[in-house]
Amino acid sequence: MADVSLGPPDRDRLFGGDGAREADRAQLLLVAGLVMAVSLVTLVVLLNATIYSENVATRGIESADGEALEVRATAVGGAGELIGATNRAGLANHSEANERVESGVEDLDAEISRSYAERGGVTHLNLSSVENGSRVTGELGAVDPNASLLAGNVTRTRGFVIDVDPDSLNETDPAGAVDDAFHVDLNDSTGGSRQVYVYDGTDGNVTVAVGENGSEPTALCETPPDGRSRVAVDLTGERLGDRPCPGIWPRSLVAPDDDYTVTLVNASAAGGEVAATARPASGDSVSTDLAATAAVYEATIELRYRTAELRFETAVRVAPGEPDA
Amino acid sequence: MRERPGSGPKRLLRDERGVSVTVGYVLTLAIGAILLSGVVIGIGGVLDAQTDRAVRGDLSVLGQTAAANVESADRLARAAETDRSSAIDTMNASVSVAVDLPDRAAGVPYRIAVDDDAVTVRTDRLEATMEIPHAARTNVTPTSVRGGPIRIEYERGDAGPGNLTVVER
Repeated sequence: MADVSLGPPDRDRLFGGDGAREADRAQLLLVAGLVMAVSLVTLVVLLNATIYSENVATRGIESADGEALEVRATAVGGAGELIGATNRAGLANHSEANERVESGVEDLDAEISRSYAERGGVTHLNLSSVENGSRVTGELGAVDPNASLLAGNVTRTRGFVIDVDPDSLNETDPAGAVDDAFHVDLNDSTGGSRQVYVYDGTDGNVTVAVGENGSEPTALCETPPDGRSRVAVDLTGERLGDRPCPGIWPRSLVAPDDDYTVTLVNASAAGGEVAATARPASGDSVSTDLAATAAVYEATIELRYRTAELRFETAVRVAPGEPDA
Repeated sequence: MRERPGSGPKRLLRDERGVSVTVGYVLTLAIGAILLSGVVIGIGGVLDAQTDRAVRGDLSVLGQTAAANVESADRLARAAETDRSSAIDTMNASVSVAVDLPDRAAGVPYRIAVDDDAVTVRTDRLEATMEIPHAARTNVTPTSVRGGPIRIEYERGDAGPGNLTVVER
């Protein structure tokens, strides 16, 4: 193996003599090396500071609104389901329905608070006010075959769904629908009347047509029964079966200034069930020829959500199944 | 002091290094100075370019952050107004979004200006400006604030829907 150990310093290497030039070269190399080293360190330190600040600047942007919107959706969805369940329970009077909604909102508040506290958010849900109404239900076969009042002098209607038996519908066309088809008459006290016809089109499909002031209607949508025993015609949700059908509910009755009356006409030309929740122009209950139970039409909920960076406060009106504005 | 071995008149007479040592040192210092100057000049140029790039990059990111939060506040304001109860004595729609922005962009102070269409961030010292368009649909009160932590606020007034306003925090 080669000997790489340094020998003892000899006189010539240290102090000159014949090897004096080697000692001078070492100094030159040291000075040059030191200069280069200091320069490179300076360069690296300065560049690093710039790169670091650039790196910090380009970190991701976090959106702040996701959770607040989630809280609002949860609160509105929960309150809507609560109102729906309360109304379906068919309670004896409005005060009982109101108490149930109030206690349900308190429970919902506790649940949401607990859920979002774990994520660092503070929520508070408070029932501000309640508007009473009636939930009207009935069998089409059991009502007056000519004309039956579903809801008189109402200002708002929601969850208005007719589950029709496709086999029971009269077969007709738009021209004959005025006289032969089952229809819903929406009579605005100041703005004329609008009709929604449901009939069996000539091709066997469940067909919905709309008209004004008793004139010949225009077919709007149709859906094949596909062997179903019931096809849902959701007037306020503007759907036919499982398809959207925009235009069923008149725009003028989405948030009307005046009250209107809802009547079922030619009920003998269709079979099935009808359900709707309506808000009377005055009082707590609507006048109807069908069966009606005390219901909560809408509730106003005050919602607060806070985190370290965000504050969101609003009062939301909850009325599930209302037509979209 | 001990005399250096081999020193004395005899060594001096036969030493030929006198001139070469001086020249050697001068050369060393000169080369070192030139090298150092070159490095300093080189670093200065690179550093200026890097600082300019970093400031523009910072301004772009700060502008994007501010614009994203203006849009967040807009979404919240619209959500607060959707289906809002119009009954008297109900709570007003109110939104506040705090944004932690740094006081300086790559070591340079800056300003944030917001209007209906865009967020503009600018530094005076390097004359760098970045304009980031935003998609907020709620009206924005035109404002200019010093760069740093800000808050975007929305408050529904008695007269109707309010404006988004950016304030220093």
